[in-house]
Amino acid sequence: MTDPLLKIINLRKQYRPNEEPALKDINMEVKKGEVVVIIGASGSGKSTLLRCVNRLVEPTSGKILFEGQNVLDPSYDINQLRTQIGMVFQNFNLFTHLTVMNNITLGLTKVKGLSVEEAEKIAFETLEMVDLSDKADSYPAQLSGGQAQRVGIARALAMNPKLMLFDEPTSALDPELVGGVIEIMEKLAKEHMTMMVVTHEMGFAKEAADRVLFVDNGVILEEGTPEEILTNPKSQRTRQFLNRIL
Amino acid sequence: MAIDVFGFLVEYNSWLLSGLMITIQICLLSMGFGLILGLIGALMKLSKNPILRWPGIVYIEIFRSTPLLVQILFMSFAYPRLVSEIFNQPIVLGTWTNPSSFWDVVIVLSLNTGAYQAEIIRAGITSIPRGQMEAARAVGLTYPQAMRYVILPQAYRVITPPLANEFINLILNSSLVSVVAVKDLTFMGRSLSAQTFRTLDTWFSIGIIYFVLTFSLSRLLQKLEKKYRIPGLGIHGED
Ligand SMILES: Nc1ncnc2c1ncn2[C@@H]1O[C@H](COP(=O)(O)OP(=O)(O)OP(=O)(O)O)[C@@H](O)[C@H]1O
Ligand SMILES: [Mg+2]
Repeated sequence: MTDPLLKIINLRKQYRPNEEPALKDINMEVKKGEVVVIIGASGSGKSTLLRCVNRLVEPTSGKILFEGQNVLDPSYDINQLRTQIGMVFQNFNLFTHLTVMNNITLGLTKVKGLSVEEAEKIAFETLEMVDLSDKADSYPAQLSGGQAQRVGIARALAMNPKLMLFDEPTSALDPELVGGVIEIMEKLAKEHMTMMVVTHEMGFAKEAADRVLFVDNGVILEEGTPEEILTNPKSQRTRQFLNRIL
Repeated sequence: MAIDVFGFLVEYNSWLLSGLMITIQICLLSMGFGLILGLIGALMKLSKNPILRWPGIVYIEIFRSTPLLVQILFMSFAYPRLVSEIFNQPIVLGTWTNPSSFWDVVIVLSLNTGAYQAEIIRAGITSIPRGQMEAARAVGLTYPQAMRYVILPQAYRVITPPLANEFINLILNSSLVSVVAVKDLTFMGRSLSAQTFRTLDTWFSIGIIYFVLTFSLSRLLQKLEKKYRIPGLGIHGED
């Protein structure tokens, strides 16, 4: 039994005092090398959950243990945490004023303190991995959506994270561009990258996920292997949701 | 009626030039200080912390909601009185250097343009999509680093055109300082017109000098704007 890389205990997030909380009582863990896919209806709290993990969203209460340490402790170095957790966004969020190369090197030079040469060497290697080494000098606005998202993945990977968070990485893409991004994510899964992925790509879930969580109304309603959840869900809500998206 | 603007410009070039130099000095100093104040003001107003936000808002609103001429007169006449009343000392006109009030008007113009620049900078920063800040923080940049390397360089391109406009306004508005006897270009116009009785020549000349100054500046700034465009971005993104 290995200790989990990430353990979430009684996590709660309430954005506004008089509203229903976005997350009510989340308990889950992610082991090293595990791929966890999170599914659920719009507004159910999937993004909020992912963003609590790297504290883009400040949880209201609960604990988030990363390698056994509570990242919600006031003394925990949040920027240090973020270098170890890569995030890929639905809308890519590439830095529009920087070339592909500099999008990747910014974190390496300014956060990790690497020299420009070292950073560019790493950036080239990660760009090769996402098959975009010829785009190093392009600007984000000159890329297709699929290319932009692969740069987004490269930017996160270059920091050599222990955990990767994907928030609907393919839902802003044209259907024919989805495959290229999914392919890279499957490759990462094979290389035992630890991943939390919010997606509606059930093909990816079947292929790569170790576990699937169904989030409904701020709680994890059901969790299990892809077969259990996707082909034989226990709850009515999960079945309804799957019928709608499949 | 004899108009000889060219002859006037040649004959009184040293007066006009010294006035122009004062105008340029005042404007460059005020623009520089104003930019610093504007950046601080904008970041204060954007801050989540009310102890920073409210002073920012108060500063910006005071200077944007009163006439510049009143601010200049206040600084030159009311402020020295205020200081003398508070500290119970005789009035010293010209707060920093006596008797010239050069630095007085630089301070007022800086505060005034700083308030306008703060609004321009704030609007520029808020025009940058939230995802840019999130992505910057997600790779581990601190808030100041994210501002410096991600948000401000992008906001800069949004901010430059209105900021250039503000600089032009500043030059034109600076003519108001002539009422408190700062020897700027307009002040020179007033004394030349009184001494030479060549009213038409004087004010044609003064107008032409202001026009050449601001017009050439706005062309220069337009060139700079083109140069710093981001490839592929915006409606002119043909490359
Ligand atoms: N910044 C915010 N401020 C206030 N409320 C928010 C904020 N972000 C999300 N919420 C609310 O929290 C709830 C969960 O939102 P969240 O974005 O986590 O859902 P989601 O499952 O990711 O949905 P989607 O599939 O549409 O992305 C929603 O009711 C949403 O309105
Ligand atoms: Mg979401």
